[in-house]
Amino acid sequence: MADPLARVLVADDAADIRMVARLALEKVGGLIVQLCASGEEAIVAAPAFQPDLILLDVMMPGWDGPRTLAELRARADLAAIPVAFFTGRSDPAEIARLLALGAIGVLPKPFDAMKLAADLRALWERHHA
Amino acid sequence: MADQGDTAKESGRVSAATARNVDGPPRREIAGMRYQLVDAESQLRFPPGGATPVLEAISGLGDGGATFRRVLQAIESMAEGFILFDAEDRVVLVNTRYRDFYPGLADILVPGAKYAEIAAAARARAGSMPVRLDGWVRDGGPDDHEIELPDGRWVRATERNVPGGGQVGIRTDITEMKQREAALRELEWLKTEFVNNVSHELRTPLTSIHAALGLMAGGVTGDLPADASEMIAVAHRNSERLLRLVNDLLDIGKIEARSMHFEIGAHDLMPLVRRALAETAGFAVPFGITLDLATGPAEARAMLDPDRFIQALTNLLSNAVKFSPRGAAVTTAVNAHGGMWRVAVIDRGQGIPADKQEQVFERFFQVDGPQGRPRGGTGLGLAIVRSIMDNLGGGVGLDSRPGQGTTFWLDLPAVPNG
Repeated sequence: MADPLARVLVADDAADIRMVARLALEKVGGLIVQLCASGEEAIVAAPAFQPDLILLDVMMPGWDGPRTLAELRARADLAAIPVAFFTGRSDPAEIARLLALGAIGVLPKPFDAMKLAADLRALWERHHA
Repeated sequence: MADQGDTAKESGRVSAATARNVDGPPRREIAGMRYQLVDAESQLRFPPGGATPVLEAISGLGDGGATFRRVLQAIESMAEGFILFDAEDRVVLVNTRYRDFYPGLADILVPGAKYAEIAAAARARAGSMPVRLDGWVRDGGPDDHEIELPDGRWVRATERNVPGGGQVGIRTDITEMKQREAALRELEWLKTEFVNNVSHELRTPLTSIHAALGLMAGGVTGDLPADASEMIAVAHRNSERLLRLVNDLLDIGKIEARSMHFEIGAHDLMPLVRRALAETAGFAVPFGITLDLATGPAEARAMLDPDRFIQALTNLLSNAVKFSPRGAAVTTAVNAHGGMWRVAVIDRGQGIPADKQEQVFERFFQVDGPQGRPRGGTGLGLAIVRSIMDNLGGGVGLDSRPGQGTTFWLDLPAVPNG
């Protein structure tokens, strides 16, 4: 059994979403959160923050979610960190595409802020089951 | 009487001309028409008694060919291209309009030319073949085609067999109609694109608003005064409704743009029906409604996309819940119906008046909820259901009597169990 989920890095280009996500994950979920405004920022911040899980928005300027995942996988120190996607396009074909890239799960937007942390924990536990 | 004499003389001339031209196709100018007539009597080859009533009437007039010439003039005056082949596949008549559609073939589109020669010339001259498809020749049946000509014009080509042998071909210029169709398609596409873009743009800020209100309503930002907390609840509920509307608009846009992905295969309906019931059960609780499943077949295999089918069925179920009196049950039943499986959702609501039953599938149409209860719908649900069912090759419909409830049903193409 893995350790419980504690540290989450969130990369999303929308500042308002980042603020809401921080509150939802810290206050409701009791998690330690690092926010990044882009995929490039996430790669820079991840080695020091040592996240248990990275939550990536799919559509971001610069590196999008899938590109950021590929860059993480290419880095020996970051390759093993589980990644989940956050997306406004949650049709079955899109979800299948994202999972095929190696994500442990896909969370739809809009989301229920009160349940966000629980949803992430469920993905985490399923991944380690 | 003088008229009759002239007619008799003309009749004689026509016969004489025919008699003179036994060695090859005679070509004649009649009344200044640019097309030519080949041996009107012998080459038309209508069997005795087998001609059409019109031709019988003409030949029985005994007016020395005057009416016949009028018919030819009429054919020349037509807005459509006209060509007549005889039983040996030779051109009997062709009007100027027809030749105008195939300018590159004007020299060979003449009476006496064999279809095979015209077709060969058309092939050799790259491109403007007067379409009489081989398939049509073999089938011998009527056929219509829309063809784009090399110069950009569009024609509708209609070919019909003539009783007793031969074929008649008609060409109608449909360029304007095609241009209007293209303009309409473009407009439809722009409209769908616009709705999609607006919906996406709306959804991003709404996601933040909805999540922020959710956190406040959940008490995460601290305790609120009773009035404030009530107002936050109102705002949260309505942001949720707006999001549903935007999602529905996006769905309808995707279906209309045919960009919604349908993964159609053979599936057992029953587990999917149970899943839809489970997904709607939570929604039904605050309405005090129970969801029942009537005893049905052990297995019911149908052609469908599971996700889209569940989307359609949960839509019907949540409607049934919203329009049912508190404490009532909503029953779902699966039965064979022709070559289809019919999934029926039966409510005990107030029913839908006969004059509203067709309209309920239109976008943004809503019927009043029971006792003015807020419906909270978007008016798009049933329009989406119908679009989904169209894409699945199935159907949707309803039976309703005011005061006795409504049954909405989905029909799906059945697959033999095996």
